[in-house]
Amino acid sequence: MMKRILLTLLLCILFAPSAVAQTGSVTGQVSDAETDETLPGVNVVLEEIDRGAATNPEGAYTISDVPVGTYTLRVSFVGYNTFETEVTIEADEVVTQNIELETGAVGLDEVVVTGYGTEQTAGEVTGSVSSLNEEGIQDVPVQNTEGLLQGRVSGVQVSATSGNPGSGFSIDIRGDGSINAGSRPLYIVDGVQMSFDQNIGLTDRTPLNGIQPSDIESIQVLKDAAAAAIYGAQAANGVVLIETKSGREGETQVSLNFEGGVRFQSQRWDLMNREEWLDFQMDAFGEAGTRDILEDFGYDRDTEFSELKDYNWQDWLFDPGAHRKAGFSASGGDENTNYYLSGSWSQTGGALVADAVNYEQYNIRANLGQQFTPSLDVDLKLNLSNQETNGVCQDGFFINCPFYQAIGEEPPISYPYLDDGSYNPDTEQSPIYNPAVTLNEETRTSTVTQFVGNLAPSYQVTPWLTAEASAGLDWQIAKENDYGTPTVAPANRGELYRDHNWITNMTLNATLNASQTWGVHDVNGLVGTEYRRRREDDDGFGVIGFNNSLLRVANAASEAAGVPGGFNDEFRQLSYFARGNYSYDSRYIVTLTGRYDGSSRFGNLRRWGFFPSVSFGWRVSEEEFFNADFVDNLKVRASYGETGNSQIGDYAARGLYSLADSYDGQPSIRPDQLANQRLTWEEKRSFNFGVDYSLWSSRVSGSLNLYRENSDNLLLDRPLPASSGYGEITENIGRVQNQGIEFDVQTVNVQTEDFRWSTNFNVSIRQNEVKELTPGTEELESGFTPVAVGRSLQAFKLPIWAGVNPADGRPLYYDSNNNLTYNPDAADEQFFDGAEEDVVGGFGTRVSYKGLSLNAFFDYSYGKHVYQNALSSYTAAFGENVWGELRNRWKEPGDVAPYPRSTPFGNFDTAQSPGGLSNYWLFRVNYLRLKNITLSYNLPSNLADQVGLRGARIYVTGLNLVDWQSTPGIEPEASGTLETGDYPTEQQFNVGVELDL
Amino acid sequence: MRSFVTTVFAAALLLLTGCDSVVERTEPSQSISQEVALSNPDAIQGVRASMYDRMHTEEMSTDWLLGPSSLADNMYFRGNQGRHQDLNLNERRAGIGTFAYDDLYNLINDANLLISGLEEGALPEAEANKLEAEGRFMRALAMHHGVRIFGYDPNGQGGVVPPNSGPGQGFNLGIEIRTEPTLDVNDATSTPRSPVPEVYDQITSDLEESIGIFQNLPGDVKEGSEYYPSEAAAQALMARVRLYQRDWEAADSRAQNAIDLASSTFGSELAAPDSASAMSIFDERNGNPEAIFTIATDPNAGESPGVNEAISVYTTIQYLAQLPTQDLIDLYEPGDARLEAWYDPCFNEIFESKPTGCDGVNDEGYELTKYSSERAVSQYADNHPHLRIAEMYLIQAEARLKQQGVGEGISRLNDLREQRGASELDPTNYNQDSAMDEILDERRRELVAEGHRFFDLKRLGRDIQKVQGREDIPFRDERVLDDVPEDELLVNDSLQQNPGY
Repeated sequence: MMKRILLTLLLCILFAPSAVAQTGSVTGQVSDAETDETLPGVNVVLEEIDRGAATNPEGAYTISDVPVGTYTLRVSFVGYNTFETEVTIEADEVVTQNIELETGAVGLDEVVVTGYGTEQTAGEVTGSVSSLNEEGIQDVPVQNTEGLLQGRVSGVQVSATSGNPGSGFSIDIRGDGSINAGSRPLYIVDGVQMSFDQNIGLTDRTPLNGIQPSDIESIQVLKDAAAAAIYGAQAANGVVLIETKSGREGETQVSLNFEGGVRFQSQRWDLMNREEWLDFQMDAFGEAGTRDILEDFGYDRDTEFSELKDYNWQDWLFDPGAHRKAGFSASGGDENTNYYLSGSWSQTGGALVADAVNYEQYNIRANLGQQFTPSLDVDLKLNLSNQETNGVCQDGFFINCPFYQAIGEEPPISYPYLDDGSYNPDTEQSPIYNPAVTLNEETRTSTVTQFVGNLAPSYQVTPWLTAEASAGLDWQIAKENDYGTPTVAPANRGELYRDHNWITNMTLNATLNASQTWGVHDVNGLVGTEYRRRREDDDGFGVIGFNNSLLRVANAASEAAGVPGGFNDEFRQLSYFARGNYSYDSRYIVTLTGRYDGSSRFGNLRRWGFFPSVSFGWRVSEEEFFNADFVDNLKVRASYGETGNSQIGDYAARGLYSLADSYDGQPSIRPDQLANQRLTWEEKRSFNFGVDYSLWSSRVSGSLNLYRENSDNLLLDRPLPASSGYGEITENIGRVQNQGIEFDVQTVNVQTEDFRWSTNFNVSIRQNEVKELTPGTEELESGFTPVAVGRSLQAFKLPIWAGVNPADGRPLYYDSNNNLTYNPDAADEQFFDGAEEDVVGGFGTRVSYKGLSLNAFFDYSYGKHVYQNALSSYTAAFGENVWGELRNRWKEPGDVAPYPRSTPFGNFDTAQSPGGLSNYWLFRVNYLRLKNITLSYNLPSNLADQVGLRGARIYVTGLNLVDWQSTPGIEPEASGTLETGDYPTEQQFNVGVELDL
Repeated sequence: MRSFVTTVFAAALLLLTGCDSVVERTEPSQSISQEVALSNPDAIQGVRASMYDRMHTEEMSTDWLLGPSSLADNMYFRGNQGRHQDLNLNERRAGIGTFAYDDLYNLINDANLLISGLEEGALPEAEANKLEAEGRFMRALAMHHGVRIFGYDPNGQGGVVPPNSGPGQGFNLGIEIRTEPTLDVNDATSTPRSPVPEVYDQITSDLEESIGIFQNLPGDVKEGSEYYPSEAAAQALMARVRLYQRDWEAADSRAQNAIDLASSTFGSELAAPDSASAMSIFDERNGNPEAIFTIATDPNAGESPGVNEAISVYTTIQYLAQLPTQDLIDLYEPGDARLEAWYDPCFNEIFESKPTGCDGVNDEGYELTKYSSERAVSQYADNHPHLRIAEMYLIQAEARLKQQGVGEGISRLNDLREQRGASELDPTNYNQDSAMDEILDERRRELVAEGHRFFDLKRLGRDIQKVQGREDIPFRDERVLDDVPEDELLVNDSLQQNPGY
């Protein structure tokens, strides 16, 4: 080791003046130690100078023009243990270094990116970081990058917010630690901090749609404060680092990909058919009342019941959509230049009638790297994307939402079209709310054009010191167009609403990275500064009075719908940060980080904040006394850190008088918000204890984490007496605690020359509790989803269901004294477990035999409760459709029935109707879902050769094909605390081919 | 070379470090600071507009005007229509005050800003005085509406008219009196409710101040428009307030002042005795001939409460949820211009269809057409008449009946009836009680859906009359006073809930 230090020192002295003159090369072949098969695509790097190459199809590599000296040669490849050796390069000589790699699962030597370009091996990391590398990403048939994280990373809960293609996700890392501020993690794509808050209303989207999953090299999730604190005030919800691919020195790789598929809805709500529905109405209204209803639906009141339609609205509504995709990528490079280029187009129709939902996307990416001088290289990563969505009202209790209106509101005797093909005017609501009218006559389009680019120069000042900088831009332009023909908007005689929104979001940073080794002492660290600015600009207008549906642009209208709207806002953040990492003999590791952040969002008196963290690691397996041979690596780590949450309004601390509607031609400016100069970030203090392990030559590896996080200074609106003219003031007063256990394990069960079987599993158990609210307040937000001390954030408070009175069929509830009552009041309500998942995770398995492989992945959720708001409304006799289970209702005195009698809507207090508010409608949402399954076949290389290809792969894949769930509806995933007729999860089936040219 | 690069890099770092100013100033696009709002003359005009725009919410328009008719016997719901159904059914906690609480005090805070919150010298003195007068008028208007919702009414002897039995017996609290603007969070204090007489003192003192200022304003500063408070408006509101206070003489004379001033200021007088003229009172296309104070609603500026909340949506053009009762229709005699002008067969103008079930509320299936958004049906925008000449006649008829007797009372009633094409009433057919009943009937005929019926019964200590087979609400019932919002009681510990809640 001493020799190495001397050599390094010598190098320091010699390297600078003579760098250009004296060079040599290193070459060799990489093969599998067990099978002796050569390995193509392996990454070979000379550590100290960051120069590398990938092996060619024969497994050979060459790195030339290497300055004379001694280097660490590092060889890493997915599924193998990383190999390191020293090589000494002599002037004008070629050193041959062949390498045999030992197989293993993803191990402790895997490289982990920990922010600001710093790469550490997993063995060195002392914070809690989860990684998804290429193996975890490939073969996953999702359209969205966020979807990749679903079920695959322990501690990260991801739910699609809607079932439509291109929809967004709600995500939390280790639970929700905020009441009013955002809970979304900070996403950083190639060094660019992405902006998520776009004022876009028509469809649900995520800016990560613009990043093609196939372009991604790795995703790192920084979960605990030690890992995330380097991002300070933006890190309390965790950080997700996404790196896209770069080209490697070696042979050019070009591949094409074609995919086609179908998207469909295989599930149905259980709703009544005509006979059951009529019987239900008769029970409530008697024959005369039921015949009144027939008239409302356009029938003659004397129509024989058997002559009425028995229409299945769900079969009409759910209609398969088509999926198509084509993509290409090319990568390669020489010793000075590398490139990765890709482009793709995809189009996916939702499983909805009338092609009402369609998602189309174009992507272009160019990642370039250039070594200008031996010490200066520059990376440029550019991504351009266009996403167009034709959508429908996605969720909510609105009669223009197809999932509510067509499923629950329309009874079987109603139907969309008359015999002559025209719209049936006598559906359940007014003519314009006939679901066929809603779907055909309104066009809701949103188009987003997105540019994400980053220019990152890196300069090697001395062998131990690098200066890096990065200038990133995230630019999102959204355009919404909502057009309704005169048929759907008769009052306005046709209407058009448009909105344009621009986001310009810039991240600039510069860092100095140092790294040095003295004997058993390894020291590295960085200092840096960062500036972030985000601007949003928006304008929109509406026009009405088209009178026909031929021309659909603004100047085909005859008048404006009110005054056009518009706004712009901005926030800025300036930061300084540092990290130091010390390792003694690779056994004891300590890391310190600190970040000092100033944000324009906070009050004058509390604008700046400091966020420190400290973490320790002990690699037990490196100790002399440790001699369990089957253990490759065992590391114990502990961390503490503080992070902040600044996801609040840009002007939340200011005293504001704001625009409001006008009076007599004068726009109003009115008291809107009282100033709070002490407003500052929410703070999270986190403890994490973890163990990383790798056993039996990495056949079994994984980690275990325990955490407790206290989120303090939570922003809460303290209510003020209304007579002050203000409703509330925002203050830092609440506290929420999250704690949990995360465990994951990866195993390689069988590994032979032709056959490999691996599995992975992860689980997180989590708990959330509100600890403090406004002083003197135990409960915020009245209603049945209050925020209360001692409960979880999404707890419910409801009257308690006591069954059906056999005497009269009325629903009974328990009052606060456990007596039965028909009319529970607020004092009788009790708390129930909330909408948080208690246990979440996923597991997958991959089996491959020669060219054939099968990959299946399941995700699961246990312990979430959802109030079935839509379902509970499908219970009243009111001309609407009725939940099928109410077949088993109370019919006559003496019946012991699970469901109350049929009652007419409006004639009883709500508590007395079957759908009345109670814990009866609180359903536990547990599910296990086959999230995706892929069967693929790689053509043998000799066959591929014959058709002039380097390789070819065909595959069949399915998305959401099977699920086992505990709820009666369709949707296990999208709903939050309330199920409100959401766009349900759809299934998809794809067939594709990949050609390597 | 290396030291050069290092220097450049260090310089770049320093440049970025800059100073606080980098993150200090970002300005919102839709807001300004309080400092600017209360000192810049243009911004102050915005604060003034805000005060009037507060009258555009559902609670301050639809609930204010239509609510008292729905709570009593003028209007009733059709079929399963939910809008105001809870008022028709007089459900507990379903009055028109709970949801208006914020709106009323938001308006009062705006008024307080104009009265005493503006920076000294920000406006020319006459302009500043005008805004103070307007603020005092609006504060009085809001406080009077609040106190009649939440408290019992004055008894004319410095006390109130509480029920003889029931939970409200002996209860005399009115509402919180707030006369200072909230400029800082420390101003947002808990305030108790003041007794009703004190609230009325504050209202009458505001109106007196307002009248005094309006009288001394230079002509070029006066608005001279029904859409802003004026001396006429302040006199008219004073007449209404004095009527509630049972100060008959003052009510009569203030009403006369209002009639005279409205005539000289706006040329307002009772509409001509034909249905077209009666219709024109509510037709924004040609100006209200009886105007004293009206809240303007521009159909093209987003001022209407909109498709779900506007009064025209409830009554005339779309949902037709609240229809005139047969009991009300029966009050009109054939040939009454108002019957022809204000009632038409139910029709949904949006879908151009005839809704079912209208004849379940009145025999002919009529709707009330006072609010029919003539300027743009799809924008649901109507001006809201808060004070007009006919109400002054009715105030005078009642005041004169109480003070001068049946003859004078009926005579003043006949002045109005004559202009409506209704028959002349013979005073000899009436005694004091039946004449009062006749005046109340006339108030129903004339002022339906203008914010009176429930309060007319309440201020007289009468039971709330109901129709459609529903039982009358006894005056002693707690529902005669609306409940103070529960949330307010939690925040403001000085606040007392109304009896029975």
